[in-house]
Amino acid sequence: MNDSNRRFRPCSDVRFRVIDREAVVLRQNAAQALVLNEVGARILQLLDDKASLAEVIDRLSEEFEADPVEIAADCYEFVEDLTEHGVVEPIIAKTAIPLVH
Amino acid sequence: MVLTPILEKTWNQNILFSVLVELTYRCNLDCFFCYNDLGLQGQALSDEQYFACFEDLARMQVMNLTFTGGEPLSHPSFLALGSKARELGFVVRIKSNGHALRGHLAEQIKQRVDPFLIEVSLHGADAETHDRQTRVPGSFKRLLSNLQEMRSLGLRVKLNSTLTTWNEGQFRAMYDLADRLGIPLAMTPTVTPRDDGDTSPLAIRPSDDGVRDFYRYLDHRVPDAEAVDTCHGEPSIQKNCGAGASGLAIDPYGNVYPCVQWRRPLGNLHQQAIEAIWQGSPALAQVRQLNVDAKTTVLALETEGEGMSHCLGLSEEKTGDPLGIDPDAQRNARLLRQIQAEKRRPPLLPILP
Repeated sequence: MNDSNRRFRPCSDVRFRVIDREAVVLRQNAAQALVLNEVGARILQLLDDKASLAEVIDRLSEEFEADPVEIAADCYEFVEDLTEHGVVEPIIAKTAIPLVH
Repeated sequence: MVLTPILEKTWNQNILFSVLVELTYRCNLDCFFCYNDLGLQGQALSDEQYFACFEDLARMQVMNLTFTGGEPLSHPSFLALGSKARELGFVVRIKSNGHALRGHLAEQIKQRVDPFLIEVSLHGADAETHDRQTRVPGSFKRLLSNLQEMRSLGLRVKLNSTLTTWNEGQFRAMYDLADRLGIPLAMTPTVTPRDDGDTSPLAIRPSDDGVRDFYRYLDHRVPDAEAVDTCHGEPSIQKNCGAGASGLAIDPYGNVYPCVQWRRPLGNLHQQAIEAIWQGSPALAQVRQLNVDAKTTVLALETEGEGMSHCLGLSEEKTGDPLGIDPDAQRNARLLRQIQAEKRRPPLLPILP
């Protein structure tokens, strides 16, 4: 999980909105609702905007004026939780396959 | 429930969370008690106007978008509008009679709209009763077939029903049918007048015995649940309901209302964007105050208000005053309290060893 270049996106059945800084998340397939706090909501928004984990950490440490090392540990753990709960999934980079004639 | 504090916030702080869109009043059935005002005139919203409105709503972080009608699937651009709603990240619900939800259209809805829920109307446990309401022979048989097809496609479906004199003798069979289909059923004992003020649907409102029997059955079926969905909510919530506080309804001609039941015009999308109406409508400010006042009114009823679901829209339509007490709501609450009292009453005969 701690490869900071990795990118994640909301799973296709996930819908979310940010309401008064908290995120309301619905996993449609499980009919399960979750509420994320302000920092969690911001992480989900940034991932949805295609930010890599490194970019998420940079933005959070800037916006919340916190130590990037501490933010990084929390962020990796949180994204792992979101993945386990089916909220986000890793974006697998497509490898270019050379055409063979 | 995890969402309760969020819902409380949306009601108290007027944060728009859910919007219901009546796409058209066209319908492929002809239900006797349909509440739509079929004589309403106006210029229908264009697809572009819908797209612009949905984009505004997404920017405002509105979560739920419900398509209804009439029959929403009979709108010629339904798939394009539904697909746009999905692309913008809404939790999409569809309220349909289910008559057209089959074959290619059902597949397209799953693939392009991926709704969270499709709510379908059931009017009876057999063809005679269901088709009497829809006034389309064969609609019951077709609905059962379509429900199975929807389930096999992976669409999430719920059945909605209204208790009437026509089906009050078979609501148990309706719940049994829903159980066999593996689909949840929600029934309400409230029959409403039409939106144009025509009260003829009230002729089939359920009898006292029917409502009492229904509450008794619900209590037996779900012992710990509240038989009636009381709108006025938790003490920390300042309003009676979400009408105009966390929700809005839009008719096919762009008129905006506090909710589907409360047809008090707040503005029109031909003249104003939805956000301008939400932020600046003087009529909406009045609606929000009435919603606060309604909560106080119901609480002041004390015992008489227990279990009563006060609907400002229905009250305005039936009594001319959104704070007036709807006699049918009062009756249903009284019958509910009778059922609750029965449970507390000791047995008449002692049980002998």
